[in-house]
Amino acid sequence: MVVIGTSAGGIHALKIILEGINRDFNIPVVIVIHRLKNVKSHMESVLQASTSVPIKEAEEKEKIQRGNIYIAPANYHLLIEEDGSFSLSVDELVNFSRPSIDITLVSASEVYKEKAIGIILTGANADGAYGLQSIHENGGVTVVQLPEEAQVNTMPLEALKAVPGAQKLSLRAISQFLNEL
Amino acid sequence: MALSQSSLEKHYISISQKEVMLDFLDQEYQLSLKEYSEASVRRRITKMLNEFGLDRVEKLCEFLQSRSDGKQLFIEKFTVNVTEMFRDPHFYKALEDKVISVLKSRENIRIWAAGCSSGEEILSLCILLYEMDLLHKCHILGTDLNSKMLDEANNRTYKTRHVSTYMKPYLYAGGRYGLEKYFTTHGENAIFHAFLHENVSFKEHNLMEPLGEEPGFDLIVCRNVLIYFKSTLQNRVIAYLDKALRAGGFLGLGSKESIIFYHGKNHFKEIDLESKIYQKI
Ligand SMILES: C[S@@+](CC[C@H](N)C(=O)[O-])C[C@H]1O[C@@H](n2cnc3c(N)ncnc32)[C@H](O)[C@@H]1O
Repeated sequence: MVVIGTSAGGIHALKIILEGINRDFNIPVVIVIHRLKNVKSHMESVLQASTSVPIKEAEEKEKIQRGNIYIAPANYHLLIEEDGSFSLSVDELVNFSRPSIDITLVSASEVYKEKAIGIILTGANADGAYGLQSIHENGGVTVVQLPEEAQVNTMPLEALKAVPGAQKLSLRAISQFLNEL
Repeated sequence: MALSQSSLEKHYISISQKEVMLDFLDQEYQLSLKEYSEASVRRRITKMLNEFGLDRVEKLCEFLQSRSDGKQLFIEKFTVNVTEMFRDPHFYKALEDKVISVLKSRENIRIWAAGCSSGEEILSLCILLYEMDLLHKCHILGTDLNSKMLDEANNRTYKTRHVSTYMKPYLYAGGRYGLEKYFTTHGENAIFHAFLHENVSFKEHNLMEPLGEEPGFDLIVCRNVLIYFKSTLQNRVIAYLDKALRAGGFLGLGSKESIIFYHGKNHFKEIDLESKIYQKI
């Protein structure tokens, strides 16, 4: 299970990663990207243009399947249940955000332990740092976009502060890393 | 920048600790949360441990036991009560166009808002009905598991800084005037006018049990409550809602909720896909 968290500059970064992944890429990926409230965006179709691996919005109590890339819906926190299904919550904003990257990373780390992989990309706040630490503490793999390459480096730098040992990779190297999983 | 709320959490509950807690709640308070979504249960209990400065669920159990209002306190801290007026404005627009316009010819209209939290949703409904000149013939029942929220709902008093964020959604929902028309400001509070609640009543109720009111509701609104339940419980709760509706009555759910887990889903037809509004056949 891979969780990718990003904010400002995220769409561009995600497109580069998605362009580089193999067509038969088969590990479930959950993307948590901050978006504007009440703005209908077509995130799935924008990202789908960059890969043939199916991209869909994560649905309430949907079972997570291999070979899918899921996007957290706007305005809800996205959690992962012990049976590997999604559940949504509308509780308070965390780090001024809903969905919050921390929340999804923490629940992935509890359920998937050492099989969880957390990746933090460009963004302008600290969301994701705590969650990445939780992935690390549960034995999972942590990756951060090279801060010097990130459009906005706050989020990668905060993540590295929380998990200094995280692998620092360029977007292209992240695609490579995913292909080799 | 404020520290994330979660980064302050020192004490964490594991999956097995969660079971200990659930057994306690079941035995002590006959409160069965086994069919609540687990990830959210762990999040809420973790939050509680940290708030009370306790490091293990066993201590939380002792703490609750030591208090006469333990059950109440637990429910207050456990439930997620975040709500807004005119949440998803398109929902209210669809209600007006596709539901209320159908119900308006009836002599009286019975509405149940299940899981109404602090009442913002009910006030939104009342304003919509008032503007359609129907409020006087409606009876609206608001229920929630958390009775403290019902007290808040009854007071019709909210923070002005929150209310100001509802102005736009009100207009998107099809509001005909300005939201200011409906409240007076006292310091940092906005108090909504009493006439809006003239035909509103509140009652504490657990959705895991039947309502125990006369069935035959014309409209039931149950939004952003089912997401906290596993699909088995969603199924049971929707069955109770189904029973409480009259034939031809309407059911409105949260935008990410649906009746797909309900074994009787073919008792319903979909009225508005985006707004999750169904009609009982
Ligand atoms: C997130 S709020 C939703 C409020 C409002 N319906 C909305 O959509 O804005 C969920 C509410 O469901 C209530 N709730 C949770 N479990 C319940 C149960 N078993 N029976 C009744 N209400 C419950 C909570 O106390 C909370 O007020």
